[in-house]
Amino acid sequence: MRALSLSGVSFSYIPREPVIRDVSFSLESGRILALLGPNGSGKTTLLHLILGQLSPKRGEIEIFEREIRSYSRSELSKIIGLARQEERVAFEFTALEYVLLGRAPYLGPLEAPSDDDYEKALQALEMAGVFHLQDRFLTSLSGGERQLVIIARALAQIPKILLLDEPLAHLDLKNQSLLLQVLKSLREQGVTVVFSTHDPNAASVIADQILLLQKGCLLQYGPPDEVLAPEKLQDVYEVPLRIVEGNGKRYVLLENIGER
Amino acid sequence: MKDLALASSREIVKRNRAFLGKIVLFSALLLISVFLSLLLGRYPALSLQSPQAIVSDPMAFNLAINYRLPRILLSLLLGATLSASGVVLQMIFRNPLVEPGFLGVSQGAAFGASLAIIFLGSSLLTMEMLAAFFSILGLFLSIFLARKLRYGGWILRLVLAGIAVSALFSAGVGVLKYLADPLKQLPEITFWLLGGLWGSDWHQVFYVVPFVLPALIVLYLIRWRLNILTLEDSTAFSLGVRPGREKMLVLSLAVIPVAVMVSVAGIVGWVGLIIPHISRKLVGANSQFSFPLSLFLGAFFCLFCDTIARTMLWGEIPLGILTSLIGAFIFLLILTRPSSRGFV
Amino acid sequence: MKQALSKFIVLLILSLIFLVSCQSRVSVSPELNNNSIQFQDALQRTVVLSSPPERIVVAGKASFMILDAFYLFPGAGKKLIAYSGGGVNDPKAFLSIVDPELASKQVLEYQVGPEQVAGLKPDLVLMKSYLSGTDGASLEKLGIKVCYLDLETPETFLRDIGILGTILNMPDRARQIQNFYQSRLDSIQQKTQGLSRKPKVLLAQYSEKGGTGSLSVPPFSWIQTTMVSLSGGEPVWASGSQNTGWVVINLEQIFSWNPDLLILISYGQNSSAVANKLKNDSKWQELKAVKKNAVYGFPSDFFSWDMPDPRWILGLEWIAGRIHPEIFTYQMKDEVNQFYLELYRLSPEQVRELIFPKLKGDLD
Repeated sequence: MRALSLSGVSFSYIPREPVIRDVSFSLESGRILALLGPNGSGKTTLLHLILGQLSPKRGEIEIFEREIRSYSRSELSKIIGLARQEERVAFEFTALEYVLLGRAPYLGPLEAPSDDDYEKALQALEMAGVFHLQDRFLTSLSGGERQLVIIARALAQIPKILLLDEPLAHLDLKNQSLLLQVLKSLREQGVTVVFSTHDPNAASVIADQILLLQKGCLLQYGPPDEVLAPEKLQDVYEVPLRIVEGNGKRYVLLENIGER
Repeated sequence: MKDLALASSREIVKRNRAFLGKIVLFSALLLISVFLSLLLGRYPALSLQSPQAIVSDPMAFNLAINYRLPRILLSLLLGATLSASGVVLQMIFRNPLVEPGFLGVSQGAAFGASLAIIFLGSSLLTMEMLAAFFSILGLFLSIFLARKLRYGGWILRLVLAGIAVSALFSAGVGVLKYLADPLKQLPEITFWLLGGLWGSDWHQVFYVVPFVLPALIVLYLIRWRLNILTLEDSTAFSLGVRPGREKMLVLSLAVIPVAVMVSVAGIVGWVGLIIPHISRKLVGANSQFSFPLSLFLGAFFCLFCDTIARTMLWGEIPLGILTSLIGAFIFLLILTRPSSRGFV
Repeated sequence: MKQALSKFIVLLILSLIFLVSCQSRVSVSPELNNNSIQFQDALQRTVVLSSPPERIVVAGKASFMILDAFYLFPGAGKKLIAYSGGGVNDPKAFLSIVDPELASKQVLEYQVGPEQVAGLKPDLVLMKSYLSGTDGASLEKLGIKVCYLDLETPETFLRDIGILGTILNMPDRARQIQNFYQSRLDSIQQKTQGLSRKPKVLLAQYSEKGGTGSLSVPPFSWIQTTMVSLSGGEPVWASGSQNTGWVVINLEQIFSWNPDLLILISYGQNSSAVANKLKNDSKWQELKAVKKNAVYGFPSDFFSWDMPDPRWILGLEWIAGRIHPEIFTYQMKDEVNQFYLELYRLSPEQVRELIFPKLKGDLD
């Protein structure tokens, strides 16, 4: 079953200035897709389109082979989860309180979380590997820990599709590894994952499919072997690159630094 | 692992029940305060009378039932409304320095009431209606203006617009002050702007309750959901919430009761600012707990200040002055102590 | 260096000359001649005029108090060229009865614009003394002569009548007016001196913010408080009040005082309607004054009789009649007739036609 399917999708915030141009692809469920491209290529916009927060000006989006518009808000929120940086955390929620917010799709407007919700929230924390942080204030966590807690909150929704916006930004190698492990285990549980990144190596390590985006256009779509080819990448990133193979994976390296 | 999770969640539920117990305790404390305030007054002299003394003296009884009791109820409602509004505003704007008198609400109410005093003869109902109208107008003007601005994120735009609208209405009050005859109307306006419940009676209570109580009850029922409105819009969206619409609804529920209370009690500041802050220090930022606690703390604080306003000196002390004085003092205390969160 | 120094000295001398010439323009050296008049105003300033003023302006807030005193002098209106008017206490309503020429006079704002006044070229400007620091000062800087009047208490009222008499060159008339007031004052004081029973009186202004029962009491020094004590009553709020304006009192305090008489002033509404409303309000039922039916609305015609306006004498007589009805048996309508006849030269027919319809409050 196809978890995600876009055909001919275009979008612009301001008329005549399209941010996404005619993007089409589909993703089988239980796979990991990396949206790859430099900053400003439209990755976040694409994620928001998949989320359903933005409506395409042209084209169609299907979630599990149903038009996205046919879903009610409540249905969709039980299917798609979003994990992104909270720009401002003005108040001090504990990690558990924050993750509990992910149970909202299952609660009516007048309801508060029940014992069962607490249990699911704790399980989500466990799944993300941050069970031990449940009573810590969000503001006291490191960048990596916070990112994992944010993912836990999305997991508390029990989503079938998990969207992550630049999850690896500002993370050190250890935390990157932790996070990628979590994504891998999610795939093993059948969750479809879509994450955006500008780092081709992160995409290479874990993605089943990579979507190469340049200025809102789909340059290439396919498994890492196909997409991570020097010509297209150099075109997108505008720097000389070299592809190196090892361990059955492709690695992208910067070439000729300082030799201008 | 599952057992661990279960054990943990049982712990939490126990803590929630403990919070409930504390709420019961608070309610009892509040009731006792109300009772004490009913017995305290300047008649026959500054004293705390016994219930028998009051019941046996028709003057004291009349005073207690027809004056003190409605006034006490209004101060409770005022405190609860201002605090509830403060919690909501601070969460929606993700800014702990925000107050109900911040979106042109209180200033609009002041403007409307001043208008009524000068041009329409200051009958109670006219004043209150005009105050409510202009405070709601102030809110919508702020939001409308914020939409038109092109600079900055939504929150910044709303802050700027709110400041502009508040300033506009304050200037309007200033103009009215200038036009007013100083021999007759000015004392009224000045006193009104400093806040006071000295004219309380049952008529006002009956007018205020239908607007204030339902809104507070609804806000109480959705108190957990308020947390979601502090998240980024797309995150809130992913959780099945329509952030723009829900924020608008919640804002209306927070602002209209304030407008109604302001038309009856004048502009009383600081309560909406510090009570949510104290509440968060005690039980954390989760509005599931901080909201109800704010209601109680706010009600108690206003009752306390108004009892002083009513009894301490032979003349009335404007309530707004007391809440600012005591409020600022408490605020300083809270700020200088280390963060404490041993409540829930 | 030397050049700079000499330039500096020249500049200094020039500025000194400039300053001196400015000064000499401001301070008019009084030419003392036969016509010049000299007197002390309410602020004890010596005012010197080379001749009796022919062009007088009454400016600033509460102008009606000065104007009503001004017009006690017949023919004074001819010397008035402009006055501050408008608003709620517009002097025009009453003064147009006394002065048919009133419409020809220029009406100024209450916020005195010094240039506008200067443009009128007045010989003298009359203002309330509390405006000396603000409006008065700006006029004086332009070299305009200002005389400050107080009129706030019986003593200062009588004194300021004397000042007006000097200004208008009608000292006999001033004495006549002073006699009118003094004789009545003396009569009341004689009868209330040494009275053993002084009923407790609460005199308060009623204001309508937010419902019933909001009263404010005047400061101890004001004429309202004085009226009560002069009439042989005990003003209950006078102990320990150092305030400078009206102070709001709540029901608690009123119950605590529990006065024998409750007198209500209302500047906006008919005070007798206010008194009635209070008497019928359940909150007020237990008060002694309500039970004894001793709740009265302070009378007013064009202006309330409690204010420091020439009408205060009527207010005083009325209060005395309320507090000690066994001693004072004034028929207020007769007093009103007498007042307007002797002070404003209005015939009883005119009074009946123009003044009586304006009467409000619990006159009898």
